[in-house]
Amino acid sequence: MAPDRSDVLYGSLGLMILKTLEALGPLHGYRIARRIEQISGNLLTLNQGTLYPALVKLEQMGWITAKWSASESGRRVKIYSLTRAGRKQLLNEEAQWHRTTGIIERFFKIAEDPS
Amino acid sequence: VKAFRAWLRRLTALARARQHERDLDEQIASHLAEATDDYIARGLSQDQARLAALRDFGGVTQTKQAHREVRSFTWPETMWQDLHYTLRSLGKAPGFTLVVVSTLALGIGVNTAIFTLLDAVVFKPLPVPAPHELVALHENGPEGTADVNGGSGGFLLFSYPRFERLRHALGFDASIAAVTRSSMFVIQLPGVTQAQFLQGQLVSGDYFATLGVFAARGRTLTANDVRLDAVSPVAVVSDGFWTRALGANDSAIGQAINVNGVNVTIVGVMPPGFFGIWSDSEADVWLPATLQRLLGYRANTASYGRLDTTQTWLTQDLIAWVNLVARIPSAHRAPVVARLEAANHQAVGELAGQLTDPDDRTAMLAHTLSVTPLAHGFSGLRSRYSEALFALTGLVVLVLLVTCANIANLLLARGAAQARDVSLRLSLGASTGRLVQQRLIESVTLAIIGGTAGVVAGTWASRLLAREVIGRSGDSLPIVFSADSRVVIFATTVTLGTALLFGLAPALRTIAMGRRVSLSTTQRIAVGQMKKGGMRALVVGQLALSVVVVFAAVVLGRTLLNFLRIDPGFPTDRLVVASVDPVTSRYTRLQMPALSQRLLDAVRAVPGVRSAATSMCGLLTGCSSSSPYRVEGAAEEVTLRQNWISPSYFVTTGIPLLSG
Repeated sequence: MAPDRSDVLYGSLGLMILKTLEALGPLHGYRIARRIEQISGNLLTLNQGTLYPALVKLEQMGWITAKWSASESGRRVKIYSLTRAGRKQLLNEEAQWHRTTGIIERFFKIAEDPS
Repeated sequence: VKAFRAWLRRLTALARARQHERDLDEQIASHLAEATDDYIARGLSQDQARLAALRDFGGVTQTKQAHREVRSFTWPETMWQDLHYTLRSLGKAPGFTLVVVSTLALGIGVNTAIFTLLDAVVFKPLPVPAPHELVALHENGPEGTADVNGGSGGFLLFSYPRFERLRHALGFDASIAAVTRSSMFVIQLPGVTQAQFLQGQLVSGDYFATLGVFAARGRTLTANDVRLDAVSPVAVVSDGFWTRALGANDSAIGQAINVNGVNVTIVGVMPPGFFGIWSDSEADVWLPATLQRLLGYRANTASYGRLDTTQTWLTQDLIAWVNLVARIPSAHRAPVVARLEAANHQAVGELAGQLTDPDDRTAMLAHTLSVTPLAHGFSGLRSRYSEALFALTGLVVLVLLVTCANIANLLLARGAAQARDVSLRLSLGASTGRLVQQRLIESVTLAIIGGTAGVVAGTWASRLLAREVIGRSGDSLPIVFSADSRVVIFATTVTLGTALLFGLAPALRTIAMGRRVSLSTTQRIAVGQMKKGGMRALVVGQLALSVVVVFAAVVLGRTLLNFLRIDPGFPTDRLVVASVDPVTSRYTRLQMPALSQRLLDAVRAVPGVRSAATSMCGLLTGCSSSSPYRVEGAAEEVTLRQNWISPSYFVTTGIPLLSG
């Protein structure tokens, strides 16, 4: 029953959420979704609904917390914010990500340059 | 740790599913509203904006389902589905269900029955706090050793002065109490002419405190009630007596009742379920030991030499009549026991000093104190039946194993028929785990239905058996035989264990079959072939076990029958027995021959009575008395069991004489 890593992060969605919360501070679900879409420059077609299962998972792992509050327009919304454990996790994940992409990049370079 | 915490959160989410669901609904609603607002700000109409927001969101239902799966577990729901499916499919096969359920009811029933008896007779601890701290004291001598189960009662008896001595040696780390075995008392309630017989015990002042039990109403007896210098005519009664005879009335406390001609005041009612330390012989009334002489108590004694038993026994060191029970905290066990042994040794030495015959003196000095655990209390049934019960346990476990094999076989046959269904489910993406779960739920359901029926039947059967063995009629079975949480826990464990035992192998096999069966036309043949191979081992095993069990069942049946009708060695079909208690009716010893003759004359005058006789000990009552005899010219005294009888006793009872 223990969740494995890739499952927890829902691919990279979890990482994106953590990074967004780190950059902009506490946000509610819709704002997080919009931010991810904006950053990706509409290259990513995100089903905004998929955000919510990912948020629950991150909450269960103790990386984010949520509390009910009011949005800018005065609606009752759940505001998510990064916890200390979440910040640490984000650093780990970032390092891991860079390492992985670095390795993959090297493979592509070798493939382009068959000498 | 982190993964475990996440798992715990999922578990708690299960309990608060409704709140989480509302939570999510509200989040989705505000999300969509915010998104709609954004689109309106960008110039879309209300309707278009709403549609666009929904499109961006993706499926609301899918989101909720995904959320549920991540948030918590889905197995409660799938289990519910499987249970539903199970009940439906069992309903479609009533014959199969009936056979399985009744076989299980039999298997689990006999096990519950025997366990209830075994637990009552051997395993169940006394219903007092920390029963493992309780010990029984007894004295082993050249005459023999005590039956520590309390079966015979011999060698467990001490004199009252000896008890006082041991109590003083005990110190403050522990407590010790004296108690007699249950014996018959004649009770008369105020305003009721009809007297009734009750089982009662005489106790020392620390009896209830040593056991650690309190009165449900009023108070228990205390050291102040049982003092050598002042007689205190008080009594504590059982919950059963209080309910039966005193109408469960609070005014019973302080009420006077007449016990063997002595007026005593009831000072307390014990809680229901308290029966003392003899689990097979409960008492209804507890009286101060100091009332021994007033009450005319004469039961269960062993005495050294010729004594005047009409004087009070409390001060006589040569009359042994109380059993001793002590509570010693485990940490102090060794030093306390050492002190007791030393004190007893000294007392024995002093007694020996008073004897003139050197042989008697040596015999007296050979007495040693022995301390044994009393966590399970005394039980004469234990010494008589525990071996038979263990043998029976072996048998019924075999019966249950055969039952399991039987049902596994039936399930396999049924599984073979369902192979197509299984293979269809597999091809539709069902996981093996899920299929095993579904099959096991079927097994557990069957086991629970059969187990429930078995427990009901087993409890009934155990009471029937106990009643036959003890020879009590009506509803007055000792409390220790009542089914309690221990029996329920046992039955539940057995039921679930059985379900796994008979269910797991067929489940896995059926799924394996389903995997191999392609959805083609050759399937029927394939199933047929597999069925043969897998079952042969089971059938052989079952046959072997069955032979053993049938053989054992015959032995068992005969054993049980022997319990029920032991041939007494003389014809009983035309005998009638009545018992008379002249002592409690205030007849003196000298009046007894005349009384006996008057009674016999009256009985012989009844038409149809062929002959009549009296005896001191009734037929088959287990009563006995013994005295030392010396054959003329022989040096050794021998102890013989005796019975005082009237002329024509042997003619009346039909007991044959070997010669003469």
